[in-house]
Amino acid sequence: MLIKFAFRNLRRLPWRTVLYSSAVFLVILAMTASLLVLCACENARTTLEEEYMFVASLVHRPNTNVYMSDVGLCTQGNEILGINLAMAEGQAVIPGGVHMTEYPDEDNMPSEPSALYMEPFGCNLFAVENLSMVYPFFTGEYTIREGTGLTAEGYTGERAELVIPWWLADQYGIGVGDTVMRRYNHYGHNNNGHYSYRECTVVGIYEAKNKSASPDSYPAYMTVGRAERDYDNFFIPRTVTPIVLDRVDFVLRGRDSFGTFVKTAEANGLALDRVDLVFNNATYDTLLAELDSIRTVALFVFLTVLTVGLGVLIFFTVLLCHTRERERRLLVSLGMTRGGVCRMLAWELAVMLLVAVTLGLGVGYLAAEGVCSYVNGSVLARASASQRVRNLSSDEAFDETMPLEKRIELSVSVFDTTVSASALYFNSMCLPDENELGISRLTLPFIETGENGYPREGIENGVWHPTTIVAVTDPDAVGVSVSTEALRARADYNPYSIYMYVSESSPFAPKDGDDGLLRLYFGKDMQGCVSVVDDFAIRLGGEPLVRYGRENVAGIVAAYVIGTYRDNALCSGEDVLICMEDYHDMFEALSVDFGGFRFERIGHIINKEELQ
Amino acid sequence: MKILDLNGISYDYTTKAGKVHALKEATASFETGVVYAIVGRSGSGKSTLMSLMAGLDVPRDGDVRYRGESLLSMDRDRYRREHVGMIFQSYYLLPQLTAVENVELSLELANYRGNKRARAEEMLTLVGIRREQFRKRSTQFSGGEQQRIAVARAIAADPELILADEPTGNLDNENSMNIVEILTELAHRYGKCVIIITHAAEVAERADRVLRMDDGYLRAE
Repeated sequence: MLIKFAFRNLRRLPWRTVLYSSAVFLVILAMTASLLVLCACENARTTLEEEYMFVASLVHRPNTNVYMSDVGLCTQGNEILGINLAMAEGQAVIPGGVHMTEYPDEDNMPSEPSALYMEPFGCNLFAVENLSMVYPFFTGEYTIREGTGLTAEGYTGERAELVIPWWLADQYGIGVGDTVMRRYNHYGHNNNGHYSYRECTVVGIYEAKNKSASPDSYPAYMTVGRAERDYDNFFIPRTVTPIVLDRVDFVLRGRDSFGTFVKTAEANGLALDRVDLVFNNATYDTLLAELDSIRTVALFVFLTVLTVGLGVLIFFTVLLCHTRERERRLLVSLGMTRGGVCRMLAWELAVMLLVAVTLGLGVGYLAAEGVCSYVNGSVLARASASQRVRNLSSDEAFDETMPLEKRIELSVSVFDTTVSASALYFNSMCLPDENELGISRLTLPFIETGENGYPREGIENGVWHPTTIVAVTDPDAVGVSVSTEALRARADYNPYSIYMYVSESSPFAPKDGDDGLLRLYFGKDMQGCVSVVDDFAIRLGGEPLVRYGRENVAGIVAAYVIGTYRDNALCSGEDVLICMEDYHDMFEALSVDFGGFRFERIGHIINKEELQ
Repeated sequence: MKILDLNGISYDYTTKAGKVHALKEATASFETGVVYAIVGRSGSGKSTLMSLMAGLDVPRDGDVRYRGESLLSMDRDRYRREHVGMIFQSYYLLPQLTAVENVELSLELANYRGNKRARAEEMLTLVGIRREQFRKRSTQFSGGEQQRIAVARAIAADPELILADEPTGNLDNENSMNIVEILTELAHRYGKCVIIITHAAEVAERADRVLRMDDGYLRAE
């Protein structure tokens, strides 16, 4: 009966119902919206902290250089999520003239180095981890006119992939897919004219928006991975080679990591009087400041509504009850209990509150989303790409901000706040400590060989067997029959050769009395395409294999069985165990480019104790 | 037949000016089929007496008995629902309800077991409200009509005791006489005990017995 009376009163007193419900609705709406915006801002702050790409950059001070070895000092002992580096290949250029597309006369190379010096200059060559991370490309000053840009996937083309400037392409009529030469002055041999020429495939041609007067200042770009290989495969943390770098970006875990990062680098021996570590994440600060402003406004609105709105609600509620006093007295005189009257009024209030609060919460949520949407489209959009940051055009403005931040955007939402950046690939850094073992795996086919180690049916007609290559940073930790030290002490040890270990049960396991090392030939697929130019053949196998012509340079790799391993959790049966450097050699030489496969210097890390 | 007894009831209340002795040992008996008028000056304690008789309040001293049973030992809400019909000077109709719903309200509260709507319409007809007016909101009626609706509401649950507090206070002479006539008929024809509190002499003249409140004392005239 009470509920019936309550609903009848609500229906018969529409203005009172609507007015009171509206007051509650507005208060709840404002409180919900402001509270949700407040929470969204808090959430956005957390998300920003967690997902922002905090980048510390290694830059040189005036009249000094950043060397490759400095990178190692920064990475050792530091927790780094990714790394991007660019280096001017000071000892490599694209030659001009006829040598741009043709090998120089190989017969004249050793004896007439002076002729080689006479080659016209083509353009400088830069090596980069990822072309999209190079500032002019990142900022849009340079755009790819034709073809594609270098990406991480281009790390190990057998022919180095190259992106050349428009002027070089126009001057020599070069298009995407053409082959050009890269002249490389071997480290340590630059005084005796020991040059080598490497074929590179042009995969992209870029153009500059504002062309300068001297177009030859625009370099060609190739990947650091390939350049690193050509600098005798000095792996970054160990290198002592004075390779001059243009810049290095380190992706840190968080804003607070920078202090530790600098301290560790300094403790490792980084000379901070020669180089500087820059940490200018200006967009982060701008976004944070804007978020704080919005949060303050939301908090103010919330507290205001909380005090004023609740006061108004209490006033209306009391007024509502007061205006019903005559009704209350009548109902009591008619025999309704005082508790019954109160319950009836409570029902009325409860129904009004239920409807108003439900609507208020729903509309408040939508309003909060609307506010977030407005904030995203205006305040944060401006903060994400402020005019000042937009106008920073290149690494000249390096000290002011990180150009990487130009495309970082914060999207605030009530339940789903995101920080989006351009799809940039940072080569992940995976560096094992002393008690850890770095591992990579790859399945490759090898060709069946006869007892002399040469393909039984010839390379073209041979039978290929897939096997898993297991690469480890420290083969000794796995338990091999010939230690790394013993291997290097052998008289016939060749640093350019690839050595491998097979299972003790393998038919290829060395037998007592064997005087030579068994050789297996690996290919990237089972097609048996085997043309290898002299230079690669020397490096990989010690002697030329087969030569069909320079235009066909897909390869196979010869690897020597140096010893055995005992079957373990990492490798067993037909698996082949090799050291990580040889794995990189093999990978690069075979130009492995399976669809979707991305090369990683080290795939994953385990604790050595896990092998026990 | 005696229906209500007042046995030496006293009642005090406190105002800013001090303690007021509203009733002083009031004693009286009321019977069915009789119209009583309680007259007196403003502030003489008439309305206080009515509250005590309706069980809306309890006396400091003394006892109100309904058919020999003290109200103090009764469920007074139920007493009002089932045995008392009240009429007020300001009608006290609920503005959000129609005429018939106002009457039905008392039936619903009294848990009337019959057809509430038919009973409400019967009562409205009895007090002279036309059928076509039944579904009009109470605010759309004249003062006299509203009071007649209030009378219908008071008698709908068939109470034996009808308490009317200045029922003609807001009405013109003609409407006043109509109301008094209805109340008189309720007593004489239907055997109700009707107690009218009034300061109108012409209303008191129509009552069967008159009691006077004077400075808290209740005396028969």
